[in-house]
Amino acid sequence: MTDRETGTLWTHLDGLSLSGPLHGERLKFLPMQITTWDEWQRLYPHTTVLDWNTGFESQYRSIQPGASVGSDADFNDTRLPVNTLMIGVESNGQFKSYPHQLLDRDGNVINDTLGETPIVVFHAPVGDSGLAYSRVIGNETLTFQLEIPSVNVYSDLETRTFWTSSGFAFDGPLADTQLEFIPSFNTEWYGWAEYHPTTAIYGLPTDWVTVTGPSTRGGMR
Amino acid sequence: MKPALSAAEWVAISVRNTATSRLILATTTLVLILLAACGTAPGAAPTKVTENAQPTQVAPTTEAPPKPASASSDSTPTISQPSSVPVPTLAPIKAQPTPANESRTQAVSSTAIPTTTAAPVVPNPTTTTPDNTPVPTPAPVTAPPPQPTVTLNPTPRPTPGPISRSTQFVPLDEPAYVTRENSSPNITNDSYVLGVANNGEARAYPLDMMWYHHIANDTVGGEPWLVTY
Repeated sequence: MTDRETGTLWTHLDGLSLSGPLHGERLKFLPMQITTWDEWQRLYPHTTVLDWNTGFESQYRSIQPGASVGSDADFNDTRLPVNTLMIGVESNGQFKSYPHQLLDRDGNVINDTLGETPIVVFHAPVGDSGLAYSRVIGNETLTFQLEIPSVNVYSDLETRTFWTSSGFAFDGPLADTQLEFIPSFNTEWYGWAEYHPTTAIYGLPTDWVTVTGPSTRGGMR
Repeated sequence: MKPALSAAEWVAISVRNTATSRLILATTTLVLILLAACGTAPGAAPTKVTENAQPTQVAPTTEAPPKPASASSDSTPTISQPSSVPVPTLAPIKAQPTPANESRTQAVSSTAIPTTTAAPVVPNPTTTTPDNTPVPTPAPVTAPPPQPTVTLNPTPRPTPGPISRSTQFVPLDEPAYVTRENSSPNITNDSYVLGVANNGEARAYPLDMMWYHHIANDTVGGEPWLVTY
């Protein structure tokens, strides 16, 4: 994609400028999740939503994350199925993929270290979303677990604070604390791996072969 | 200010960066990027959940608030909105010059902005898909015509593009938005959305719409955002 002001060419996945007057710049990431409309409303009751009537309504259609669009035919990094839903995380130049299915299997919370930064990857059972945050608060490194699956609530073992999937402490000793966002987003394997061929994958190769394709959990209620 | 890339440059770049062009076409990945220079706290206003509210319902989404909620005074007792909390633990976000966006207007009220503006025509890589590259079709029985200016045989060629579009894709510029009570019936509870929250303001971008536009140039929480899918 390009910006109209300078004509600089940017990657839409990384916000990295490839060529043009702003070459070398990089756009900042902020958290965005793909989740269901009702889960998003539960999280943010005051949310607004795009007006459907844009003049392009005839182009809109029902879209499911992870549904193949056929553009991946020549993609050949077969460590995971091409349309695998995953959370892609970047930290200090290190990239790692967390397939939703493996997050499901392992409790929906991964306490990990990436790029020498202790991170937590929250997977939300409701809405099949998830993002990564730093586990460090002050001098302390926290360890998280899923506390209430039905409302995507997590807790840390050290202080028993309750956290949302957005990394916000809403109850407990650390209430009103926001975990630092680690650049991450919901994507599919082929897009992520094509941009980051050196990416690590959560788990072991023996785990990867158990990933059968896009998760069908979210939205299939 | 320089004009956007010419169509020829687009072609060259698109061809060179096959990953980029393919990914622009494919509705797979997403990035949310903030162009603003000011630091910000991500997310505010998560739901307050009482600890023993576990087993049963959680989503008061179907309760239709009686008022059109222009002011978000929530009637739900279990939900609090600590909007725009200054977050001490957030790492400072380095300010970066964004000359391109200095002229952008700030967010307006939560009522709809009448911008159904069709964006300026952007050189579209979809028109340069390898659709017109010569396809090695097996020679028919009769001698092939000397010049292939006209395709005589209707043999179906493999379609390279994953998604057929009847028009160019058009980015959304400062798209109009509505309160959730006034959302389109096309957006059901099970519909997927891209959700963003910034400085106490939250907005949802339905995938059913974004798969087509791919890009929204918007303002959320008083800051210019680029939403891509």
